[in-house]
Amino acid sequence: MKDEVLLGLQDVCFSYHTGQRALADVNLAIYPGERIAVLGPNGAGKSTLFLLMNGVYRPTRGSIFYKGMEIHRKNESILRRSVGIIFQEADSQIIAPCVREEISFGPMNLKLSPAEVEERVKQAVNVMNLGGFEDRPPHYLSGGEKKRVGIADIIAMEPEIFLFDEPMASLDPFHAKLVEALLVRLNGQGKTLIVSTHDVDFAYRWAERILVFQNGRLTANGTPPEIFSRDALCGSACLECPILLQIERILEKNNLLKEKGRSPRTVKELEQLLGR
Amino acid sequence: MELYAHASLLRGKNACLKVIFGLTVLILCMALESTAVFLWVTVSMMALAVFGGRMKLSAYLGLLGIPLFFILFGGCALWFATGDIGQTCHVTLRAISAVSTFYFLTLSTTVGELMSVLQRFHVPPVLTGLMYLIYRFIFVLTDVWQSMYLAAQSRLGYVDYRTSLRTFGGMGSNLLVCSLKRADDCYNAMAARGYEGTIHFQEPKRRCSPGDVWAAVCYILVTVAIGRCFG
Repeated sequence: MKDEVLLGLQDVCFSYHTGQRALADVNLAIYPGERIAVLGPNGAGKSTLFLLMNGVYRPTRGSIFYKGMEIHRKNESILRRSVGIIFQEADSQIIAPCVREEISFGPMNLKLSPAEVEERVKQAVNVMNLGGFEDRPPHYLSGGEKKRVGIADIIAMEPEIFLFDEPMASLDPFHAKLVEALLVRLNGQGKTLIVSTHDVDFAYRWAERILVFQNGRLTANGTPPEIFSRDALCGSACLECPILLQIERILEKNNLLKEKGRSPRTVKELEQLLGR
Repeated sequence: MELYAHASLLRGKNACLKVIFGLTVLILCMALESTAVFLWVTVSMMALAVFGGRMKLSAYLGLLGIPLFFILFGGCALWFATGDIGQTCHVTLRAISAVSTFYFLTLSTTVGELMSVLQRFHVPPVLTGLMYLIYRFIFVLTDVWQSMYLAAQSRLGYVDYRTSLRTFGGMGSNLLVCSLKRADDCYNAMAARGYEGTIHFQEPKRRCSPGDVWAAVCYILVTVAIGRCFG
């Protein structure tokens, strides 16, 4: 049920041990099956937010709830099991000497039986098209292949929430499309996806909800049309207007659209507006 | 060496067997006094590593270069100390045979497999994990160094001797900071996947075939026989 909050942050603040404040007063509710894009300039606190959601960092103030249960030091492993992060730099994530062992690292930490671990590794390899790569050392793979290994690492843990930290960064168009197709597949399986990205066009067409972070604060939380209609917000958060929205505005201005304010999210939707 | 270990034909062999075999040969090298044994072990281990490992002899000798340099250097020191060339050659060959045995092991077995074998021998997981992380972070350090070196080179950081020294100094001082950051990111990624202090990878199933066991036993018997005949 969408009413039940899966992951909740209440007045969460986080500062590094140097005293630098990374997040302040973040209040957020994540519902099952959502597709959320997190936007904001570099240094806004997006990666820190992900590490808090996964339990690697503990909030300096405030609370994190998972399925209604408050997360403390003693039960933070629940977050690690249920929330998986795919890091921006796959090199940071890869530690094992071969792909198979790399993907098995997470399931082994879940204390699963060897048979279950093997099954999950096999499945993750299939989902990410890594057949034939199992015995190869991951450090010698290409950027796109490493990214696929990084994603397979998390798929094998079968979390309920996937956090993607700029998944398309440094990827060629082929691998970027592969990742996008994977996002569709995972969401189709009922997984909750939260993607941090600078690609506003992707966020606009893919996300159900957009969170905007600036200077460690959550400054906006709404649907893509709502967010991108706020010019002042977009300006202060350095967000470009999505191309489709720009085209829609131009066509509206020139009275070339039959219906105004529809905010088409895809080229097909725009085409249908022109066709009527 | 990791690449060679992955490509080796011997990689599919049971890791426990390889470790026990390697340790046994090593003990024989230490226990037996025959120079013929040392020569036999050196040449046979080199052949196993080169042919079994599908690597060029020049690559193998290149890898052996640094330990060989130190062994020969130590041999020279021993010669100066004792004046006995026979004893010097004996000790030097023993050391080379031991290193060749280690090379056979490391060029046919990945670090992950070695770690799982050690865990099987009840070496504390904290120790094996530490061993693995130290090994892994050597590559992190070299990666960081390489990136910094290329970046410096592209900006004329090595254009002349004086500039090279300055660049080297700057990179050296920065290396620790950059590597600490990389290590921090690595730790976060491990913690995010449930790391709680011990590293466990899925152990690949490698059957110990009777043929491999017999081959290992025959080798050891031949080595002992050589030791007796030429001892």
